[in-house]
Amino acid sequence: MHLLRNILLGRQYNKFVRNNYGLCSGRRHFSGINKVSSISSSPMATEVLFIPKSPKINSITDTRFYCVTVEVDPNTFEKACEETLESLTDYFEEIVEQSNLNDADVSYSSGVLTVNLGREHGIYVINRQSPNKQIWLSSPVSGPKRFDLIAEDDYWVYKHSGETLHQLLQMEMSKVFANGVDFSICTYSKL
Amino acid sequence: MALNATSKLLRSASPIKLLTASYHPNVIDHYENPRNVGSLDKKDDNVGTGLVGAPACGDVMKLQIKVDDNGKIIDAKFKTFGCGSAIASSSLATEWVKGKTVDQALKLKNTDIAKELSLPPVKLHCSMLAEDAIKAALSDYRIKQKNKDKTAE
Repeated sequence: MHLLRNILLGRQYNKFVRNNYGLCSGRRHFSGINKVSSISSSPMATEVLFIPKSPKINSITDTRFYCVTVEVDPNTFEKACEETLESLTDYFEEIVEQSNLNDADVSYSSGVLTVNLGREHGIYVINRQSPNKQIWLSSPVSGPKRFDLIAEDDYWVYKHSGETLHQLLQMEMSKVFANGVDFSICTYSKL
Repeated sequence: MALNATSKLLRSASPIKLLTASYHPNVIDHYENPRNVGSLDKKDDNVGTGLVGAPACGDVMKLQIKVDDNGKIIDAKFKTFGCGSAIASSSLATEWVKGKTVDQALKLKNTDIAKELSLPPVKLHCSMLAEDAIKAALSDYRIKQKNKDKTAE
């Protein structure tokens, strides 16, 4: 039984890699999504889906992958993304208002949240990146990062460091806002 | 008549101001005169190829380096499909890695590229892609060299 399972996993694995990696063309990328979503109905789904961390794949190009978040369906992503960004917008507006940063400004429109913390602290941009099903963050302190949705636990993670979106914001914002911040009250947060 | 009114309106919107609000001169320079566009022989053992991004995401970068026997990068080429900042970032990256050793090239950071091109916050991701492309190319080169050593043994 165990052997059979491994063989099955191995086969799924090859199929998965063939369809999703090695810089596929647009069409193949999407056909990959279909394949995986059909796989996810099987009980082995989770094991198959965590394969991107496999050393075999890393050895091919040893680089970051931009289009691998195949496990989240588009509707779940859009909903989670919008809720996350709106919740962040509300919270940023609140903390900016309570702070003494007079040249700060928060604006959100069509999936792009821009938090201008003024001359001293710079501009943060947090935006929806639908093709990759990611949220992208650009920080004047730590640079650009791409976050994937972990749908089952409701949070966004930067897969190379394991850091979550809200952990990063909590850390960097607590240095900007002297009165302290608490990003755990936002939706899809995990600190 | 209506057309005339519209074109007058457009003219009065001062197109020059709109243009200066978009890209930094350094980006435009690299975009209009990209350095080192092209390809190297990817089968050559001294050539490393890095391919990052994905068409569905909007940006694809191919960056290749040619390394001589002393570990120095003697040539670099790129082809990029993407926005102006992505093209400028990869063009600048090829310019910078040339003449460097493999180890020096590995130390090139996305922040250096972003700074040189004065990229705005949303475009920092383009410079990150360029850094990834360099790293992928160097890694490909190293894997090739290792395999070569193995077959030589």
